[in-house]
Amino acid sequence: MNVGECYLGWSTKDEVREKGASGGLVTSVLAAALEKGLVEKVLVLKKISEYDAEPIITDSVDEVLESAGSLHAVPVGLSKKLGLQLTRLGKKIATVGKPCDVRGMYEMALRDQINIDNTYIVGLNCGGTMPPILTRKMLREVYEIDPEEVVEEEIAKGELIFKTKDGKEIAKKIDELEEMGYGRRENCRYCFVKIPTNADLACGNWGVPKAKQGQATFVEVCSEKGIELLENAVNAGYIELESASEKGINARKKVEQAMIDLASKWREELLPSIPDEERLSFYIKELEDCIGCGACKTVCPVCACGDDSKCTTMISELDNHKISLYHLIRFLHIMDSCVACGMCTDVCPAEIKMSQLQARFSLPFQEEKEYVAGMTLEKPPFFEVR
Amino acid sequence: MKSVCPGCNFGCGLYLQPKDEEMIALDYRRGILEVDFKKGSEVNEGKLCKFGVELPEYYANKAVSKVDGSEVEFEKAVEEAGKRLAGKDAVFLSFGDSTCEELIALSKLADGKIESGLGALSDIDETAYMCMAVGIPYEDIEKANSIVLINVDPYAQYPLILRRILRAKENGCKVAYVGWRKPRNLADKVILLSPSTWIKTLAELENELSEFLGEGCVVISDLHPHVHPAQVKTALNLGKGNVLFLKPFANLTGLMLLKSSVSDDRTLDNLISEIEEGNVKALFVHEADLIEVMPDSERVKEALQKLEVLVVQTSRASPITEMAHVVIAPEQLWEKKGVVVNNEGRILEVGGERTDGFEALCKVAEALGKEKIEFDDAHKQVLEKVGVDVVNEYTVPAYERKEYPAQSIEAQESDIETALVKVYTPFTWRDMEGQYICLSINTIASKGIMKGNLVTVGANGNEGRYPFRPDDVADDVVLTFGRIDIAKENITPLEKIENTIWTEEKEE
Ligand SMILES: Cc1cc2nc3c(=O)[nH]c(=O)nc-3n(C[C@H](O)[C@H](O)[C@H](O)COP(=O)(O)OP(=O)(O)OC[C@H]3O[C@@H](n4cnc5c(N)ncnc54)[C@H](O)[C@@H]3O)c2cc1C
Ligand code: SF4
Ligand code: SF4
Ligand code: SF4
Ligand code: SF4
Repeated sequence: MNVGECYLGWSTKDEVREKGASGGLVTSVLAAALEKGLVEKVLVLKKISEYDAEPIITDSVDEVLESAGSLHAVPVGLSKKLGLQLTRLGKKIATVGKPCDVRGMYEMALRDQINIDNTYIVGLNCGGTMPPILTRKMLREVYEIDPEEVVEEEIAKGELIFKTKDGKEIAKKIDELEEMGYGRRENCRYCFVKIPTNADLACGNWGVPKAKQGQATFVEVCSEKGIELLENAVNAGYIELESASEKGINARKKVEQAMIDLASKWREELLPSIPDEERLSFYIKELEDCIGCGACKTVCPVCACGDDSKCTTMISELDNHKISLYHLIRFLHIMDSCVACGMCTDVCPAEIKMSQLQARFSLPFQEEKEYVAGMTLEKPPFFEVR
Repeated sequence: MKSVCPGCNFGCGLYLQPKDEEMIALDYRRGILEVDFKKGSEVNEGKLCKFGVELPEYYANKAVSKVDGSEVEFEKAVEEAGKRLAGKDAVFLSFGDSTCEELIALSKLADGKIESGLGALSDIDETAYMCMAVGIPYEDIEKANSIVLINVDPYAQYPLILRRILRAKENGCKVAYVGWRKPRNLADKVILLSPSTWIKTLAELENELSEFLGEGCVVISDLHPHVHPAQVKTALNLGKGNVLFLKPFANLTGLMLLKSSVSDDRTLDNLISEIEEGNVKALFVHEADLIEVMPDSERVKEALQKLEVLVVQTSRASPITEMAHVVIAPEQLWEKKGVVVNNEGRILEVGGERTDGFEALCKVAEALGKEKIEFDDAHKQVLEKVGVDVVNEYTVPAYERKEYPAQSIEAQESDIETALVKVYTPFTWRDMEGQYICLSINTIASKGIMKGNLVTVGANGNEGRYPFRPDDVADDVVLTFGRIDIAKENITPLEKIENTIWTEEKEE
């Protein structure tokens, strides 16, 4: 097995394959890594419902096996979760992660929050995640079904499909849903990294031939650790693999490109440029409701300063400025490293679209520096400033 | 594990995970817990205010069980509480900072008479009680035609209500605010209250706000042991049932539902007077601290010293645990098995598995020869009271609300020219808020106060020196969010300022 090779793979356990998003390969690889002692712990999601899951770091193989399946309405950030754990103490952890999670992990590694050598990352391709409560509303109002009745959701051919307990299957065009304000989170719509080749393995359903849809996972080997993970799972009897076909590999590339093109379109729509003379008033207006809770910083994988951060030491509750230095400093401080994960927007109690505001700084800046944040351990542009 | 934030009665969902031993040392954030944002929570969609974000700090402060100041085993403290309360006619105080099941156990112990400190609301017509106890669903705020905020500052006090109001505004809703600090650009109409006429202004709002009232109008206010009845009555009168009272304790709604009335309750001021006069000799305080909650902490401390028996059951170390004869320190809220009911009446599982606090209450009750209750039965009683079969965080149970008559408000005027106005945030109630004052730009400019100066404020015969912040308050108002040591009063938002020195001295 070599880095760069692509395979189709599936779990040898029927129930995992059934429950898994495509072939249950991801779950099986993680479970095998734990069982065979390749790692001490695994970070996965513990499902509560289709709309809710708790990220857990577990040493139980059963808990890992239970995590099979993709939750598209659970936009949880896994990098910060992992970063506050034990890889720095020499413990080995395997984790699952969407491209933004993996990118966050790399940015954290650059800041000594994670030891990437001790981290085995099973990446998932990602077309986007949806805000759970808005999704529930969409189900009631657009799909006209009770959210509690949903047993499975799926994205296929540009449609968002929900299956209910009584066997109904309702599909709607994602484009149309997004025009109505539903669908994926805004930052996901202009997210450009769709296949996490920075992970040790990049897994998805793109490139799986029709006959095997839902029964196999397409996996690209991205590193030596990726080889270790796959070989370990094969030897442990957890998965089976076959080489991916040229046709599959090309099909996957094609969909990826289509998604990237779509992201460009959304970027123009969601982040229109602002005339110079309106800039200050634009940011004052956008930020006027900030209550200074600090949640946007707490969740940000790129923020690693702790309590003595530049952005928080320069503000005081005794000030009452029209625009907080906290934001101005953060915009500049992390514009070389923001991975556009959207976590800051998700958690803002004042409904400020922080991720979108940050993107107005970070996207053009990273483009100019020809740097895509979180893809390698190469130093980000600001680290080079002397 | 799934949890509910204890910072107020909003009922924000979150995940808490105990940190690995090794991680505690490594993590720059204090506390043994880690917060994860629960975006699938209907109440808050994963969003939290500063209190929720900093929850591990709050939970880092744990009480220990004690008898006469010495640390003891939990069981010993429980046993001792039973012995000391035997034969005493104790008062049982709770603000509802615990599960409904514990409140039921406490109620058994208290022979059905839990004091809530809400005595100032005792003369409000009983038919309005349900509307005070349980508000309209948060989702209805987003659909409102108009919103009237009566002395509620969404930015500082109940930040999670802000996004609901912002969404309502996106749908064309008009917002009016009546209170002490202009809420940035949130409201279309702002009526800043003045210390000499504030009650009169409230009493006459019906005319002032006529364009906002009527069909599709939602009135939002708050309710707690310091609230002035004029504020609550105003909200009831304007909202005509369409009202939401926000509350500062994790389960005050649950407590109010279980109590069914506050007409026999005392104000905290009265309770302390009765302790001072020797009419109350034994006090059982449940998950609360009178010293922190009352402005005049010195007076409270002196009064508590007069008690023959002071038993405090609380998971949090605070001044009262330093004074109590017996401290029963059970698990913290996140560890508890049981439910809370939030401002809108939604019943939420707290998420933990422990029932030590519940069992302690039952054991003390048993020692006093009272009826004991099993946890499951207590839980069943809660469901019955709320009218549901199961706990489902995604639905708001239907509550029966009666029509109530208009409440009369005595439109007094006072001679207070400048006032110290007290506004409570989740941090204030736990004495975690900074001590500073807010002044209007006019005041700052006209007095020539320089940034960094301290201002001396005198009230109730005392003086204090405080840093200040420029803010959108009236010129005759000095506003504070923190517990401020010159304040003394219980049932009023304001206190007369006797003197001020716009001092020139720089901060050290
Ligand atoms: C939100 C999302 C969007 C995706 N979009 C695409 C796409 O557009 N194209 C494509 O080819 N593949 C996509 N995938 C990947 C695909 O759905 C499968 O996860 C992948 O094919 C692996 O399948 P499996 O059966 O081997 O995984 P499984 O064995 O089912 O394992 C799934 C793993 O994913 C984790 N997981 C579930 N939901 C989330 C989440 N929201 N965030 C982080 N981790 C999660 C679980 O904890 C589990 O470990 C997406 C996955 C997710 C989670
Ligand atoms: S930001 Fe990108 S990688 Fe992350 S959830 Fe959205 S689409 Fe997926
Ligand atoms: S700024 Fe926001 S979008 Fe960017 S990395 Fe941080 S949390 Fe993610
Ligand atoms: S999360 Fe929102 S309200 Fe909180 S500090 Fe960030 S921008 Fe401000
Ligand atoms: S609004 Fe209340 S419940 Fe929600 S996070 Fe803040 S203090 Fe906690």
